[in-house]
Amino acid sequence: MTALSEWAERYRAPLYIAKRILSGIPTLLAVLTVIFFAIRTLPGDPALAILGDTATDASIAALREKLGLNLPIWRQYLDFLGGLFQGDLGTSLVYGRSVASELLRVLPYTLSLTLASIVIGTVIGVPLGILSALHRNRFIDYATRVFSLIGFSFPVFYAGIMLILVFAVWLPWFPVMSSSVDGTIIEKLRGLVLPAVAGSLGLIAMITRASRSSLLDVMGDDYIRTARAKGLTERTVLYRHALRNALIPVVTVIGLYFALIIGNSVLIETVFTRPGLGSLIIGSLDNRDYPMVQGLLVTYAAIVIVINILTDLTYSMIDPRINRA
Amino acid sequence: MSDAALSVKNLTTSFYINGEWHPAVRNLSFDLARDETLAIVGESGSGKSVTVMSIMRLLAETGSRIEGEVMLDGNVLTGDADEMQRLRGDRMAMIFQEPMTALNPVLQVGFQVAEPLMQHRGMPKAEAMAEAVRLLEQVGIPSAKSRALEYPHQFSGGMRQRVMIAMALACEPTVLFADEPTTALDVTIQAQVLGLLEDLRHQKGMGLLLITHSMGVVAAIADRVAVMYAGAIVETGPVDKIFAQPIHPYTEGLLKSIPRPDRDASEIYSIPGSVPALDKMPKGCRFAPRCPLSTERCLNDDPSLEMVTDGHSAACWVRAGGAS
Amino acid sequence: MSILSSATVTMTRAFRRNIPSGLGIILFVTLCLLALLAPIIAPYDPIEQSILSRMKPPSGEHLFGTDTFGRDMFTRALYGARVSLTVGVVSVLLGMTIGSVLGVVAGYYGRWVDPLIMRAMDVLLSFPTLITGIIIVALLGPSLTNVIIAITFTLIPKFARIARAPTLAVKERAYVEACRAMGFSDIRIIVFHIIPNILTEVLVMASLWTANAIMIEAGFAFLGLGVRAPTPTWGGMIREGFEHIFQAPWMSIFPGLCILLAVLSLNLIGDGLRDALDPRLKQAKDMG
Repeated sequence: MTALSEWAERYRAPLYIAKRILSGIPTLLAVLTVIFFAIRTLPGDPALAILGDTATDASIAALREKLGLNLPIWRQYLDFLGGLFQGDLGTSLVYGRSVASELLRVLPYTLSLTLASIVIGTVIGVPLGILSALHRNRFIDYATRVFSLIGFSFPVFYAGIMLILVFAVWLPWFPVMSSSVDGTIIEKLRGLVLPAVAGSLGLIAMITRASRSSLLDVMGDDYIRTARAKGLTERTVLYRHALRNALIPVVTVIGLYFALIIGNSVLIETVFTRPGLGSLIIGSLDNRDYPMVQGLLVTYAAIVIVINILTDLTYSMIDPRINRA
Repeated sequence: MSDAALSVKNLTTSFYINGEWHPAVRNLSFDLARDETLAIVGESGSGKSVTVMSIMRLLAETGSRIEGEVMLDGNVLTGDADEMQRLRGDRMAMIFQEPMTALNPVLQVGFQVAEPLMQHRGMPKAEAMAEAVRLLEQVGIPSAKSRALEYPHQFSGGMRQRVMIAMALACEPTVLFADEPTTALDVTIQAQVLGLLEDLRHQKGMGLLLITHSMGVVAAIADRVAVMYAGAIVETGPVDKIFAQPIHPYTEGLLKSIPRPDRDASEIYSIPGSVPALDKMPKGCRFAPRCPLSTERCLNDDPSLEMVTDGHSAACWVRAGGAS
Repeated sequence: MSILSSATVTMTRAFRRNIPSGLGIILFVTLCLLALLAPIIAPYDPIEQSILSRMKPPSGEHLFGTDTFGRDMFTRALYGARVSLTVGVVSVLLGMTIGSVLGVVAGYYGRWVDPLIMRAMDVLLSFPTLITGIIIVALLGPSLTNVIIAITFTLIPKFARIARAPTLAVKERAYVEACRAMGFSDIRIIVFHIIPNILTEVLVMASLWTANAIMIEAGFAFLGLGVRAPTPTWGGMIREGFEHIFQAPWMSIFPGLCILLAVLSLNLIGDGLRDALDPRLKQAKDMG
């Protein structure tokens, strides 16, 4: 082995990670550019929006000057990128505070909702998929498949409303609104249950299907026969040899769903009157708070790009064949 | 014959196809001594693999039926699932044809070799891993200690087959089944792997049951041969006798089809036709439709194995009398 | 005897496989007919208000009850089907056509065209679908056309990706090389050799994403970003009903069931189509 290839061998995993992260940068730059110009095509003059219809021309001109709206577009663009690098996303036209601090305030709500949905989806979906695969073409299998088809077809906001109706109105187990910002941890968790369940329905369905079909595929593989020929118990064959291979496609589903549920949080947060990225973007669009919308889009894109990278890295952890740099 | 490592009597394995049971292996009987290599030879579809999979009980339970008696180490196997699970990988082990896919891609090679020890010997993981490294060294894997921590995709085909062998030998089984262990490998590697199998078999005093379609492989390492056709043994005997004086026309055909350096490639013989499908078996001698010597009787009655000389038997009306 | 029984087994199996997709087709066609015939079937006017019969629970007179303006919810649900189905079908047809063309062009021409198109698709995919849609509707203003445009945009990159991969594979095959050597035009090669190869997967995805498009449209309407009132939409009806969830739960329940049925029927069709056309696609849906 040459020194170089030995070096490459030793640092294969870190090299792969670095390469994967670097590969996200051009896309991120393109995304930022698109965001910048899209925001500037949104209808309405931000200065007018702030000052209202009664503003004088002079005061509007002054505010435009202050907001940097009179600079040439390329200067505004460079200022935008430069600001981003320093974590400066501008100032909210409505709240008068920095966009970044407002984003950081609501981000935990959306992230906790998303993570809770994903945990629920995985914890229920994977065992259901296994159960379904092990009882292939029997009652449990059919029941699971019907259940997941319906879960898959449930619009997320309708699911939320039905959950409120049943578990908050008819059976008063959970709060109707989950906005208790100042509540205790217990209250916050209680408020998280219904929104997270609403968000997880589709994921449960997708994970159930994916793990069922991939487990059935894997159980026919040669190494499963090898594992049996070694005298391992069926349990060990299933959990040690089959499941890990079967979970590889499930990681894809979770990765894809992450972006989906971040988007769906718009609906969930509206239904449960929860703070978060989703309710913030709706409010900011209503108020024409364009710096805020711009900051939100940057946040969404950053989350999606980071999730894509994390998904790939998770693959390389589960499947040793992947991280060949 | 209770001192045989493996003794099989009247093994019949049937599959359920289109509403009927069709035997893929019929009334098969053979013994395998300790420190002996028995080769089962035949074309694909002759039932060689099914025989071994039936003994190991690795066939899917639905749609298959296994009858007959199997004795391992002098004990009759009941075929009970728990009993079989305890014996597999411990008293009898198996190597497969496809080293590329037979190893789990997401588990370290050393761990896969260590698994039978953890399962059957109750060894703690660290100890089993150390033993796995020793086993990998034994099958000739260089720098076994570091390679034990690598994954199958980092190994070549020949190296993977060595890993399979190490895994199979971990618990020093009485019987080792090798199903076409070299078919998927390069010619130069084939000889190395066969040599390794032969050495280890001798060292550990195991019975080795080798399944192959190649008379060349048989000549290289077998002590005795059983020629299988359409689910039954048609000729069996010591390897030198089979090669010197084949009785059954099917054996003759197989021998003629060995490629030899002194002949042109275009002269390689192949038996006309192919093994009939399970649901289209002819009555009488199953080889009769492809046999150059077949008579009226061959087409109507099924011949049974008859001893011709000491230890050498064949099932053929024309060559071995086959009277009962 | 055995032939008979095996034929029975095969038929039962085929039938069992097709029951769900058959059900889906029946359901979807019924919904389409109801939407189409809404002016004839509908017992009341969808827009005219009647103060006297405000928020009446479901009854023989008003199957789905009435809303805050006393309008018959069943009538409005029938008319709402028109919007949902139109948006679903039209945006998927547009997204499928534009996306597939982009994907095929990217895959077929390679060089600089491929990275250019696919990077653009990556940018679109860098936002959650719903967010892309919301921003586009905000840019253009809420109307039926703009909702369709917004959903089309979110679908384009998905179809482009689906169409590109098989194009790359087919392009390398010997017969395509031969066609080129014989001087066939690119258009001819694409139409006769590439399109047939991607059609299966694109069609399966089209039915599944029609279901998705209907859900997105309902989501927009629920957020108040859809077709303007008083035109009835399922999502808009839920939006109005949700405000009175305590007093009049039926105002949310029934329109939601309509969405559920429409989406379910298309998912059933998509599943059946996928199984029938190509078993190898089994996983694709699970990931989509």
